[in-house]
Amino acid sequence: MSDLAATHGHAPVEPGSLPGVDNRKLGMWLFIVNEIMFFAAFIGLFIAYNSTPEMGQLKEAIHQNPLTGIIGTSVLLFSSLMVVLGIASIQRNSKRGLMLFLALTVLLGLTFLGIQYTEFTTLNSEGFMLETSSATSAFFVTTSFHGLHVLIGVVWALGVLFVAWRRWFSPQGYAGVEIFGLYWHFVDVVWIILFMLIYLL
Amino acid sequence: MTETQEARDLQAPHVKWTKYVTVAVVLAVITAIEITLAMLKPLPPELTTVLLIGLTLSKAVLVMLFYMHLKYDTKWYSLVLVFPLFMVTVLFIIVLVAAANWNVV
Repeated sequence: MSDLAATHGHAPVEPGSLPGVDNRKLGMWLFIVNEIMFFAAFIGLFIAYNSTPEMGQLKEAIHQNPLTGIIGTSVLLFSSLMVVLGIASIQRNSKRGLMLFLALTVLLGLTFLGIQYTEFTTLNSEGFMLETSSATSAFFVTTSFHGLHVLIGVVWALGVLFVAWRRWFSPQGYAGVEIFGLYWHFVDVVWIILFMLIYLL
Repeated sequence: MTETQEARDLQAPHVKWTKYVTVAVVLAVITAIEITLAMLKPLPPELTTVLLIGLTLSKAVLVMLFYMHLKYDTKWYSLVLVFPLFMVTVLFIIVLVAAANWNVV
């Protein structure tokens, strides 16, 4: 596979388009900007409650089993690698490779959701519910919204996998994989920040 | 330039798979350092907090540069992010100052 075939200055200019810009990718980036503001509000809320006694109690319970967060983070980081390896595969015209890496992405996404469900169940059994305090509300709402995004990503990945199975992607046309990848990596970036706030600080 | 080449240029850049794996290894190493700092607490708390924030941001930047291809794509995509990231930074500073002064409950 050749190294980067740079886009700078080579892409055609379509009416209404910026040079070198794929409007589908630009649309996805604008959606991500919207999502940044969405998650910023929740993360801001989490930061605001971070030093309260209620958040301290919640974190103490979470930190009793640090493996949950460590495995969840590893799974999500690994899934991001799977997506880019899928893109590298279709660029080399390996449709089987693309399908394999997308299937692994789905599997890892479901594993992450399973880990999150287990953590929520454990916390609920210890008395930490959504309505217990403002701090627990901030925690459950933020992590649940992130989990919802992972679930949407898994469904999207299944859709991309179906398209790959029908052999509708080619080395000349795989924008669907790239745009899904942008979404999936963004969800990963959000978790990287949440991981620090929840499990490390 | 053919239409096929034009279409390819507008999609994902061609990056060697070994580079993706290298980035994954770096991300894993940074995560291991973060976990060590947080669990063993070998440094003063303030320094640990600053280091953890720095390491986390470096992971986020790595993912955005190499996996989301901002390093290789046209700079227009990066420009789209400048204003919202500035706004988010301002928001977090306000929240931190407010939480420190008002003792939010």
